[in-house]
Amino acid sequence: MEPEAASGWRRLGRLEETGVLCALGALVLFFSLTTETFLGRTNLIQVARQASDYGLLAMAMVFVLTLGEVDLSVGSVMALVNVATAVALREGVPVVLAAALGLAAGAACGLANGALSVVLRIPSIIVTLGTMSVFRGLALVISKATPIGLGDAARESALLRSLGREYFHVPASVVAMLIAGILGHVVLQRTVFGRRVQAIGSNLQAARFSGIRIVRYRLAVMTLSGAAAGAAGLLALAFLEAGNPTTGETFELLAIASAVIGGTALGGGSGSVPGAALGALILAVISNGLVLLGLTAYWSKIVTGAMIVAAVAVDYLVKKLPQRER
Amino acid sequence: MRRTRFRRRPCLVLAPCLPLLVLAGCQREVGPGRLKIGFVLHGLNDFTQVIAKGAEDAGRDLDADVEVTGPAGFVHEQAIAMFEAMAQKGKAGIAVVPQPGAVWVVPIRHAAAAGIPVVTANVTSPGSAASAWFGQDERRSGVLLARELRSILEAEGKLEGSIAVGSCAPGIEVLASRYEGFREGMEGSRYELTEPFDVTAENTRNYGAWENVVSSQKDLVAAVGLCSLDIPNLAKVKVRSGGKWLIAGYDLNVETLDAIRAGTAQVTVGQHPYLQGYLPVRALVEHLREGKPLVKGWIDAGTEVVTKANVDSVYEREVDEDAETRWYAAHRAERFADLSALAKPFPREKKP
Repeated sequence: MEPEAASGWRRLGRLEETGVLCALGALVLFFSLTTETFLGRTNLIQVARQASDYGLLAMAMVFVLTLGEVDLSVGSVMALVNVATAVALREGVPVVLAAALGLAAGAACGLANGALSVVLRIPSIIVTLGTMSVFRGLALVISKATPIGLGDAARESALLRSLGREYFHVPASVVAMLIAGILGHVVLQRTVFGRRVQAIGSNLQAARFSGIRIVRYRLAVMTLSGAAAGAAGLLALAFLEAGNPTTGETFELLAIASAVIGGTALGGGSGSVPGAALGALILAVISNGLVLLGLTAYWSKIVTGAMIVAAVAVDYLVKKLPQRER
Repeated sequence: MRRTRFRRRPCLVLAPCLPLLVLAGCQREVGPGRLKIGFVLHGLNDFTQVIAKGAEDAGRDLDADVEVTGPAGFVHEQAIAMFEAMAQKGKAGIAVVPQPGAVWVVPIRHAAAAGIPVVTANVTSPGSAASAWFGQDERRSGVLLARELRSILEAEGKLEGSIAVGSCAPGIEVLASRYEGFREGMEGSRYELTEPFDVTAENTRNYGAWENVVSSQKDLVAAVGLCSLDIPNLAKVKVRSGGKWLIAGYDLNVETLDAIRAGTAQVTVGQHPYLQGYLPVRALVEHLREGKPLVKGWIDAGTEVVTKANVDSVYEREVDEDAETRWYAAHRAERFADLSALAKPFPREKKP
């Protein structure tokens, strides 16, 4: 029995996500002990849903960062799809068509980012720094800087209701994040596509010399990032039953932070989709826990930053432990 | 040698033109004719869009070119750059929403020194050279909100409990004034008022933040949002959680009024943003074209408290732009015929 148990623990220790799991566990334990309502079912579901607001973006960002790129426009794409779809629904476009067009628009924004980066030979961080403003500006123009309510017909449609409801008490956006997390993990770690994304991020020259078509992967990953942002915009629209041009503001930072906290290398070459989901959960747990503790506005920002650093430090230490034992 | 002479000639030709170009840029239209007025907002959202509409309607009514602009993200450095650009573009007068007031003293001083009259809207810049301020007393609006909420709570027999307050932008002076006024209005009661929680200005996080806030409070009797996006999100949280607490907040956007009509939210405070756009433009046009002395002091655009009892009287004008224009035309004729006569000293906390 003992050797099997030991190998089980070793396997757990070798998991990329062990460190971030420990950090999340430490935070959950802390808030469970210091607040009365943190561990309640309603609160935990709320935390998971709040994490899913930017969780999809974070998981797609894993692919982008692993490739060695950065996409700063995801929050703006989310807003653009959110309000554009709301406007389309208000104008009477059928719900399924509007949602499909919204998703396609998100993917198109991502493709445009990739194409600009490839054609102009500019790093994606610069391209998306510009398109971040362009897409946000388009969202403001389309919405006239005003929230857009959905009409009764759209609100009652089967598609929007299914995207905004709960399944066995689990919000649809959390279900979407779970499904995306599993798919994303399989694609990144178990497919040729994922391996090549990691190879490109690890060593661009070597990847090029080995015949990998860098341009195709760049376009594909940026399109994926845009599509994920579009999906996030649609889920926000379905849940809040209104489009809002402020949607997604600063979400690019949350997405990058979640991915990095979850173990994705900022320099490219490796990443963890489940880690990004856990990173998003860590950020949501901190926001939720500090409010439950009664920490008001001015102190919450200081403590939030400190807790993020602490969470990353726990992850780092846990990863270092097995190396020291050797 | 030839290349050097050739290079020198364009410079010699252009050099004297530069002062002329600068002077041309500084010339402003005065007297009869289509005046060019600038209006710089502090950001772009549904609230400031109403200010913009008021300003543009004034331009149309008074035959003036009104250019309204503002930074998308409420970044004051960008707003200052836009203000300075307006001055460079030769606007005859500029109205501005100077948020936060302290950083606008110098830019407004420079514009005034260049002979451009400046007035402020919505918020003001105490100690600046701006002649007039068109807005509401934010502290007093908080007092009125508190009094109305308190009367509703007392009517429901809820004499004590927790009142959670949220701010979408902690540190913003306007919101701090609202909170101070609300606290003042609650003095003498047995309600426990929280310090403002950071509920963020991003819509999805605002919803999530309010979920967290209402979960955190024992004996919650009311939730109060200081920004325009709060009531719509609070209403959704309340419906989905089955909460019984009351909702109070600010501004008259359609979702907020729908929540009041449905009884989900109880009270909101409006500040006539349409007038905050219209009246400054009118004051500038009257001064520049008709030679009237520029209004000095504070023109109180008014504060309106909206509850279920009177929501229907404001609903039509808030959902229909034409109805809004008609209503305010009548309201201006009745209440704002003579701006100079209405000007009063700045409220205590707005004095330099």
